[in-house]
Amino acid sequence: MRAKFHLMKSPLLEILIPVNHEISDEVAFRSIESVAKSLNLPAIAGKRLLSVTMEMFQNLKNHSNRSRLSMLRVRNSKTGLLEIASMNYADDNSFMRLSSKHDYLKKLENRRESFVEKVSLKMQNLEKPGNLGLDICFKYAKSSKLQTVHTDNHQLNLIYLAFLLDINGKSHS
Amino acid sequence: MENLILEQSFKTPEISFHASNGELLLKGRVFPENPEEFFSPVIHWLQQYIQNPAPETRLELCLSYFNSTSSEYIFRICKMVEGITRSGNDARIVWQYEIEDEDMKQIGEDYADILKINFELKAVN
Repeated sequence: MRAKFHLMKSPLLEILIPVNHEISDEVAFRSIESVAKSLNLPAIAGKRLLSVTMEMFQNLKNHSNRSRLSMLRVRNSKTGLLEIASMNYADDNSFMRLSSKHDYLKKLENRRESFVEKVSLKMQNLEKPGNLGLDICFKYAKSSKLQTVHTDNHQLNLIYLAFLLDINGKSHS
Repeated sequence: MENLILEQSFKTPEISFHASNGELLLKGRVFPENPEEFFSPVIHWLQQYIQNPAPETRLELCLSYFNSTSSEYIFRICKMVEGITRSGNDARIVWQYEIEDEDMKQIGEDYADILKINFELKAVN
């Protein structure tokens, strides 16, 4: 099956990862970089777009349910923010992890300190599971959204995770 | 001990580790498809090197982008170089970043906070 991979001339990038196919990291990187250039973003915002989108892309690629449905979308929101969103089938375990991480991070007053601590802890035990990639997304984002899209069949519920980036490169403080 | 020289690719950095003079360079983007496979020989080389390092070791990191998985290995490399100072040898790290890249500067500052080593932040155009 061929991957549906659209790079549009409008400031919209959609990456779809369909069944039995993986888009390479290099293709994703080049495409995101191209979108960042076409948006004429300040250097710092372009770099954050690249960092957050690549982390989410790689997160989706490594997701246990990637073969069922994964989608990543980058677009300009009407509020002048960049929205980087992923959608993935929710299995109970992964959703619980995301949900608790989200709640935890929301309560933090000093994200930088927490990030340093997290990197430090991670270094003490490289094998310890954790998601530094998502932490980076939270760190650079101005705000984030996390929700489940409920269906009649709970096994088909979706995780919708989006990060909003300031087009001028300002992050959440 | 032989030097470790790896050419830069789109997703992997140039690695130029010279055992005789202690000049260690990592330069470029870092998001290999399989980080463990890529970094394994680098870590192995460093494990050998720190047994008998040059009198002065200088690790220079000139990175334009790295993903979170690679950051763990980059930090591990920094920790290994930090370890050289504990054995009485001289070692330092130079973190080079593009002048407009505030995030890369920030990461360098975070590393400088965590590591107990002479750590120089160097902005370039």
